[in-house]
Amino acid sequence: MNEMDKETERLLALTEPTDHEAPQTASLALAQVKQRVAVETISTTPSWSDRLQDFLVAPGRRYALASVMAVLMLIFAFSFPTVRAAASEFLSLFRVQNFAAITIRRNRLPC
Amino acid sequence: MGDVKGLKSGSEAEKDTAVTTLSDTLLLERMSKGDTASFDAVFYTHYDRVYGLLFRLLGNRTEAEDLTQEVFLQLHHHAFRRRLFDLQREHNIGAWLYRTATNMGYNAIRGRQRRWQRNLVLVPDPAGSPGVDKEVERREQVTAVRRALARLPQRQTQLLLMRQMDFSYEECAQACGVAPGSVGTLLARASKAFKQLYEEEQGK
Repeated sequence: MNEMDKETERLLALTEPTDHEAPQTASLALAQVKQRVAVETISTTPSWSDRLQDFLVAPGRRYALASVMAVLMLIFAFSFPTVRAAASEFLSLFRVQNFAAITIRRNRLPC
Repeated sequence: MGDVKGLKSGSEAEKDTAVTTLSDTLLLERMSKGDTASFDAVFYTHYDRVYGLLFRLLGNRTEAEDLTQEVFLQLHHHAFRRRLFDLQREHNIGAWLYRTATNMGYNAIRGRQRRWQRNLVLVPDPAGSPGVDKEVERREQVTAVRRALARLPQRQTQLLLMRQMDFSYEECAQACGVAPGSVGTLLARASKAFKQLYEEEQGK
């Protein structure tokens, strides 16, 4: 399958900048960008939301935050009686319900 | 004009992509540590192509230059002030730049209050002039092409323009967030959709 036919290429080529539509030189453009950066650095500081976001998405903190959130969600879930009841029912599977003692006599054990 | 022109073989283009990507990764690492010289290097590497992409979308030199500066200002902001490249593990500056440029270009197109203007002023010539007629026809075609591109989904426009600018399949795929193997198919679909919209624009 042709990726892009010749007619489409010809039409798109019409949008190319001509010589008098060429951009200013890269060095001049870079100087202008740096000037704007200098002005913005003086006039703005990171907002509290920017700082909070940076704090939250820092590499080490992401996993710690996920763990804390999981624990909080678990605590919240256990505030519901139905959840506590379901958990109790599950744990009862492992609980000893009936206990019976038997006497073992050594002389009756097979040697 | 600094556009990447000329045809390259697939392997040469892929090697160039690998070198550029590796260099961008190293530059990005240095930028995340506050190295401004690396930002300058990225600027010089990508400035012409970012401008070329924006001009093809917008058709206006001043607007394309302004948005090109905005793109690199965003890069500076993300790399130095917010360290987001480091935090989000972004590894390909080129893909980020062309993606951001396309987003900004589309926002500029949507924000325009007026329709596309034909800015050619003709002095009436009773005798007629084939040269002028040809220029008018070319301008009409260019206008129709840009209208059609603006109506396409953003990803299709980005793919078409980047491929027309001789970006490799790998670069197109990274900038558009698609698998490299699907670029050919996506380009064919985009081309078909573009021609359909262009014919509609021509018919208006």
